[in-house]
Amino acid sequence: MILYKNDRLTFEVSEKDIKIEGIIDEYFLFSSISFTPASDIVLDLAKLEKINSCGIREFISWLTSLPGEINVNYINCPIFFINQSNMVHGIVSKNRKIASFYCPYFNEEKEEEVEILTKIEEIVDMKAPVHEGLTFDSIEKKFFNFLILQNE
Amino acid sequence: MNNMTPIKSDYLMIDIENDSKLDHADLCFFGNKPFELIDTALLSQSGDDWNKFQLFGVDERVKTNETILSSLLPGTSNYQRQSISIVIDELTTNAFLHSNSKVPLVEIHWIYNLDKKSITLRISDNGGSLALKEILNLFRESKMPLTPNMKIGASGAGLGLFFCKEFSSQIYINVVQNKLTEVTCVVPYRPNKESVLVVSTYEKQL
Repeated sequence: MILYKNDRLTFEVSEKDIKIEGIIDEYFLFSSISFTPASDIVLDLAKLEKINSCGIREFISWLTSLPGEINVNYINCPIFFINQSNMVHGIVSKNRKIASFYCPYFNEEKEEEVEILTKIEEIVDMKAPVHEGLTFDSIEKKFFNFLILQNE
Repeated sequence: MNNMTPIKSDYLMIDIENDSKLDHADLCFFGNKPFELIDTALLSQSGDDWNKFQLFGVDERVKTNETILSSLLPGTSNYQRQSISIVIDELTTNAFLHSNSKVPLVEIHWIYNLDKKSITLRISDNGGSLALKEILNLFRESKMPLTPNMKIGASGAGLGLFFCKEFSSQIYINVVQNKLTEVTCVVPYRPNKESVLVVSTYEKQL
């Protein structure tokens, strides 16, 4: 079922989750979504291409409009979404948590970037999982700061 | 513009690694003193080599963004593509949102730097409404509170410019009040892990 659609953005509800595909910008109108979840929801962001500063406000407004007892879990979060979650209040919180996300690595030998899907359980003491031949390509305590934010 | 006199300039050096702990004591100001990192990537290119675009409306940014992304070299990292896309999106939107010109005109200039990997993006508009003090205050923040919904024609709290801090290694802002705002960002090939982000602002008046 399509929950929301504009030229560049789709929210599609399946049995397990809500898949968000495209770009969240100022053309996203959360008020046109008529959806009241009965239980916790999972947002699959694997195909989210970009979210800009105007879109973030609208996106958080939509999250805020959900019933207070509903928990939101984000899965397959792109790297830029993690960066922005660390920068803006309201994307993650006690009841809005990132469950899985892409970590940036770099293969120095091949000189190429590698993105590895990671579950939060794999992050211990704010350290990135070790993968042979790869260097974690960000500042760990900054990149993983959302873990603190969503447990505050 | 040669007859304009600079009234203020400031350089702000931000400790990237400890960004989340920034407070006034962590910031270094250099006043009008020259700063050695300023000219590394920018001043070595001829103006004629820049790729140029003119935008007359905010909706044009989408197509322009796609055009620029499609013309990047094949080896451009995904991180850099996303960073460029975000910086163009935010700065062009800002330019149209806040331009106080009756006929807003936004220009995008971009070029590969001498390392052939990092990219310099310059977005300018014919408005000139940013104030030096506001910019520096904005970059002091390590985390932004949300402001009410922002749409075209409304004012914001600088979240777009704040995002550009995250996706750039150097930022230069020139403002001629009511005439020009010019934001130049150096977008690195890989995430910025260096210890500093340099922000330079320069404000002139007629």
